[in-house]
Amino acid sequence: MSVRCEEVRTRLTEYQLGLLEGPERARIEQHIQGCQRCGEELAALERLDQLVQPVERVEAPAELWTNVQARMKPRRRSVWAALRQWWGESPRMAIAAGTAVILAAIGIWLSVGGPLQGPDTTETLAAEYQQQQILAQWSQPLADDAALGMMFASLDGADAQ
Amino acid sequence: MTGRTWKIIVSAAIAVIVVLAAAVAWHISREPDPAAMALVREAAAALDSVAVRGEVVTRVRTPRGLVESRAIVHRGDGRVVIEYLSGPAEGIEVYRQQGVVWAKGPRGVHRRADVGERSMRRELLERNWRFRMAGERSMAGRAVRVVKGTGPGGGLTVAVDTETSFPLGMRRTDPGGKLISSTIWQSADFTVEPPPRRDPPAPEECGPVCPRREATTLAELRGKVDWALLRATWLPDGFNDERWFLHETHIGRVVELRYSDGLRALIIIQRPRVKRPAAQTAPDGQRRSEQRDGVEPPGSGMWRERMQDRRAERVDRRVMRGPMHRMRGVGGDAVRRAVDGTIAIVIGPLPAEKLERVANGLEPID
Repeated sequence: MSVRCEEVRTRLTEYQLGLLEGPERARIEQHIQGCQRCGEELAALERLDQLVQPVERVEAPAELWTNVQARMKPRRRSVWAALRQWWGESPRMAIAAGTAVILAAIGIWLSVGGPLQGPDTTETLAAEYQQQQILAQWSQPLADDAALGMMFASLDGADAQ
Repeated sequence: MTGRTWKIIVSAAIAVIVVLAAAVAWHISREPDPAAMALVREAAAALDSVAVRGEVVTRVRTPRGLVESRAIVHRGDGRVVIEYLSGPAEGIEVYRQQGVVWAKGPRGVHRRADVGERSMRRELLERNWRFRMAGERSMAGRAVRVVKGTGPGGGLTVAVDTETSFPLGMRRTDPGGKLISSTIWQSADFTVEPPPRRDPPAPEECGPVCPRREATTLAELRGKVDWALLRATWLPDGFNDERWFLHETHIGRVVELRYSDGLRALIIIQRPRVKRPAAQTAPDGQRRSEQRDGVEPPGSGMWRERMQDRRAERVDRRVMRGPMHRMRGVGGDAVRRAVDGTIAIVIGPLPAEKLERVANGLEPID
């Protein structure tokens, strides 16, 4: 292959697509007329071009999309995705529902006994157990009345004033 | 043999003699002294019978740490009046009479409880405790003989007045030697009459719900409570003398199972896991109940019981971790177990591992 043939073939695709103009196009055209191998190369490019030409447009059958949908497996949406969608559509409803749940929980909690107050608090139970402890020791021989009395009198409990 | 060899042999012999002498002295010092035991028994009797009035300083290990209080004590003929001058009970008077103790503050009686009469089990005391004489000294301006003892529940030192046998000083320690409480008389007047007899306050005087306590038997208890009663299948050496008590308290009915080593008590408090309707005394003196005529109060049901159950457990655990854990002043640490629907709190002057073992051995009584 001459040097000229090599140069022509690097520009052959552009020539075939009609991108070259003026003297460059005329020079390549002149070479192809005199060079059988470059002419065959151009002819091959033109055949390839014809192959990739769009086929005739065909109208799809009316029931095609329906059939495709029927064959598709239903896609499961995650709970989180559903919530996100619902939240995006109606955030006020979500806030209202959340508030209602919280209020209901507080109501149940209060009805059951409420916070750790009242007769079963830590302090009351501790005082009660300590009192049992003091009374148990107080009936033993040589019980230290002054020490036990101080504990007894200063117990924190529901009945302490 | 060389001179150096002789020196080594003589040195070794001296060391052996010193060790043997120390061992013999230690052994002798641990031998129970019948005279010391007799003095302790006399002191225990004098504590309730001798009339005396004076000022004492008492120190107690409490949940808040070691506290000190000064007080005027007047006692005799089984009655005691203690007027606290300082410390956490300042301004409060505590009375003990006929098995009842009550505390009276500026606003009247605020605490009352039945403790029962003191009782001494001589065989328990002699079996479990080892006392020995520890010298003579002066206390509150009087001559006293000091007796030291050790038992399963720790140590006890008593300073006994030579003339009256009244204990003018008492110091208790836990099994680890840590101070539990001490009371030392600063002055003592033995010429006084016993304190005057008073009428113990009625239970209703101490508030809307007044704790009550009664000594009972296992057979009686079975008819009074509807939850599983527990008994210890393992006890530390020295603790026996099983006794049962029933308490009406702020937290409902509570059963107390008590063991003693002769001087110190190990108690097992028992209550239902889910709070039962508690008989309560209203301010007007009428007995009331949360559940009347068999109708459950609003909100009752299984879920409510479960919630209460969990809540009670949470509170109990907080109590165990907090105040009771530090409560050595009158008995020792506490541990908790739930067995067959019954919550048991084991409290006693024992190391934690022994309390745990007692708690682990709790079983329902058939």
